[in-house]
Amino acid sequence: MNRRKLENQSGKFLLLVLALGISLCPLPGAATEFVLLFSNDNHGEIEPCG
Amino acid sequence: MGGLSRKAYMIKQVESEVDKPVLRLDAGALFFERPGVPDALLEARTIQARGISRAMQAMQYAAIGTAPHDLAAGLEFLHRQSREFSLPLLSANLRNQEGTSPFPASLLTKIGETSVAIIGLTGESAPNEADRRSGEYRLLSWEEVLPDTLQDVAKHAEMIILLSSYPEKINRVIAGRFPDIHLIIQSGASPAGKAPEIVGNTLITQVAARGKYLGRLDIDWKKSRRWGQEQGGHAKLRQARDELDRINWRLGRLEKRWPNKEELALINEYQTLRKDQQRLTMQIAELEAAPRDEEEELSSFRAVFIPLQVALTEDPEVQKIVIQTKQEINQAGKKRLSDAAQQPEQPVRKGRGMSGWQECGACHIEQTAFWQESRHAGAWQTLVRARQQFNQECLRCHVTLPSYDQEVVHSENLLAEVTPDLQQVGCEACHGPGEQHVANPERTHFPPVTARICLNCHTPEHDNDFDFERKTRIIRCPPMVKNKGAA
Repeated sequence: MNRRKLENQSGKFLLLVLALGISLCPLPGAATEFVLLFSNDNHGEIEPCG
Repeated sequence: MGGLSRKAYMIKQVESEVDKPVLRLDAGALFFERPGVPDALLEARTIQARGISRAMQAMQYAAIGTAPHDLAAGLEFLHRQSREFSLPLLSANLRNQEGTSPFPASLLTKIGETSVAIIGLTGESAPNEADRRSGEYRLLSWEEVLPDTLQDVAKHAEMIILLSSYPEKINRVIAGRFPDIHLIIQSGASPAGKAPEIVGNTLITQVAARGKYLGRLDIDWKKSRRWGQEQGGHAKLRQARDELDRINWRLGRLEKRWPNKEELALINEYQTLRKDQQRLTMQIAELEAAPRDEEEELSSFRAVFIPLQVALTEDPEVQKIVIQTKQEINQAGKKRLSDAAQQPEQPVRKGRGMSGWQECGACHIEQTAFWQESRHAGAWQTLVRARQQFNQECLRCHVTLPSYDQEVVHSENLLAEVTPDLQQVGCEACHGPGEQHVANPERTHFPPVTARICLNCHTPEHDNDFDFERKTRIIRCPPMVKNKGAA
């Protein structure tokens, strides 16, 4: 394998590592959409009687 | 309405419908009805609390606030539950006898790309209820703990949520003093639900009590960490565009009616509308040209309180836990009744001046025959069929009790007081105790039957569409004609 081909392949590998790194690292402070399901004051209720 | 298995079903339903992360939180006052439990009811209530713990474990809540209600059976009991069922209980200000924190003050979780910190804060209960457990634990004030707790979490969190059982007026002060708290979910002190309200930069909310609703907030959290719901330039721009649309429509109508432009220009209404049109066009241009970066970063939410209707499907896993818990409560009540009957110093007695329907029936023959055909007469049997006749929580609405008398209804010895002749919703449940009337038929001081009496049992969670006028037409006994002088 000649030197030029080797350089080309290692460059591609470096690019792949960089792309993976960018896609896996979360951006600090990015926006998020989410659903918050909440409850309170169940007051010991398991199921209404009757 | 309500019930843990319907809540579990609804949680799964929402999760299957959305393609966003879902965070599940409970603000506390979860395990017990009140911050204190009478000794006689302790066993049944702790069985109930264990059932709730198992259900919460199955529902995989991310965090649970600790309210004074939750300490009703003691700190040690709650601590055991949290360990046994891996419950993520939080409290920044609760301390045990040794002065250490039984539960973490906060936890940090990742929702999508956002780090969210959740803090628990335990409110104070009424002094008489706290006295029962004096010395077992103590509460630090929110002023003491919040600054340090917030400092700890603020380094890592982009959103801070507080689960607080302090009253709303305190939560509003907290919101004013700590704008870094972005959301407060309340519990305990304020029984009614609270529609979301932005106070400073803090959204405060709470669903109604007794597990009848599941709160849902669809949050779009931006890096500005500021709420912009109906407050920012976007809302103003939308309002201005809407107003301009209305004005253009009215101008169009005038132009059709007055094709001659010279005549049209003389009409007052047209002149006013044209001025408004110019003003709004300029305002819209200014709003559109204004720097948008900050506006676009404002966070927003959509809120809905989902009613857990009776008709809703039940989650099988949690339903199984609920059924098992109810059976355990019934067994415990049965055993307690049997133990009480074996102790002669605690005789089983007919309760509180009640006579039983047979005594009424001796004179009020027609009325009793009518009542025997009603569902009230078979109310006890529905409990027997459900194997809940020893569950004191259910009992009070299936037997003959003066339901308006809270002292009687919440009696610790209710199981023992309800003798077989009171095992139905009989005459005295609506009309009041009749013992004195039986002894002397001239005494007829019965209170009028009002909606308030019915509503003690026909609550929304048991009878969703109760209508007093309609139901009394069905249930009202035939008028007394011949047996004058009797009730």
